[in-house]
Amino acid sequence: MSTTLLDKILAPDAISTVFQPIYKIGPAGLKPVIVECLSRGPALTNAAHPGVFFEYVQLKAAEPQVDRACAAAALAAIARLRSPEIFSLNVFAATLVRDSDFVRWVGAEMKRLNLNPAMLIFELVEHGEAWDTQAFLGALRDLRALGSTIALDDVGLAHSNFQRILDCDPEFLKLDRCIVRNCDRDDRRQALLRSLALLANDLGAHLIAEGVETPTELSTLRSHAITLFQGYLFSRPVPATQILDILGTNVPRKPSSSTSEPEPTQSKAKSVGGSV
Amino acid sequence: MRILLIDDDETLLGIMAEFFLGRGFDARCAGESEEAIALVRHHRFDVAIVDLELNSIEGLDGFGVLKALRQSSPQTRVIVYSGHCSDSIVEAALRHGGTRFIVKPASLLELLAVVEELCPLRY
Repeated sequence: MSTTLLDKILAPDAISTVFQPIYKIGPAGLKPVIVECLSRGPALTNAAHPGVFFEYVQLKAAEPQVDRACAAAALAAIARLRSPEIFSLNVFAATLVRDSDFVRWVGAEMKRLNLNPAMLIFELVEHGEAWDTQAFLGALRDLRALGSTIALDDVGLAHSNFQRILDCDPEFLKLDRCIVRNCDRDDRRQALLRSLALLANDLGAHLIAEGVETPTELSTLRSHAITLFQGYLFSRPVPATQILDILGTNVPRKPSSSTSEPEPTQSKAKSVGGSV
Repeated sequence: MRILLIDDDETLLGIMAEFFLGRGFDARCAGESEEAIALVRHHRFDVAIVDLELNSIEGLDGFGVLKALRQSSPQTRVIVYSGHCSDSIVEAALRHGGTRFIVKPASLLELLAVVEELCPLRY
């Protein structure tokens, strides 16, 4: 029997974790306020490429097993950092539907590692299959009962739709890069940004713009009252050794002059972990 | 030149990879159709050698790979490499995007000759 890529992914210590900060622009300037944990498949396999990794996992319908392996690696990495930051980690929505024990398991892992669930955000990555709403909503309730919060990932892309926003009632909406990319040069994207910023504010959610790559994109996003940003403009995903340096130094890159705009309107967003 | 080799025979896959790597190809391997489909959705290949009989979830066999190649990478030249060579299989493989059908077993030099024929300018 040959070894499949899934066998290699699920082998002990095969999955590694890298970190990408999410920055907030406020009166105190630019500051990392959340650190996203990103899982990487085994080196020297096709799953070393993140896109191939997660596409393969979905095609194999192996989200629950792989999510557990990714979460275990990420939580262990967070524990080793001993940092007071808020961390986020990605979970396939399908995992919450199919693995009825996932939330209990992740709660036990956090307890074992002495991690405060209130400092953890679960980013839900969508999946387009038939949906068991009751199981999904039950899992969300259980995650919140632990003290953790919910982000809806990839908003604007494929299945991260309005129904899911209503289902999740997320504390965070992460705008997909398909909306962010070139938003400074595209009136239609700006119309979407305007609407989504209003929606997030009315729902009491924080809006995070993913994939910010240029100062002019940042400036445009700020003009739509968005204050949380992630992307190569600020930092690429980095290993544990570098994320501590970034968190320690706070501001790896000074914002461009185009960021000196008025502060956005007062947000009604829910408080999370006390510091976002 | 980028070549994708797809076969669930791990030994054969390794030999093919060594052969093409040794001739200067940028060779990638996939042992399952899901792995191959994920690869072609995120990478571009000049040519792919696709075994039709793959152990995979129903509906995601070699024909699933042909479909993914046609959707995500229509410029890729596809050599279907299979032990099943009835008229209906060959016709279906070519209809689903195969550029050429080669019956297993074939020598590595035969495969190389077809690759060179399909991609003469890029080789």
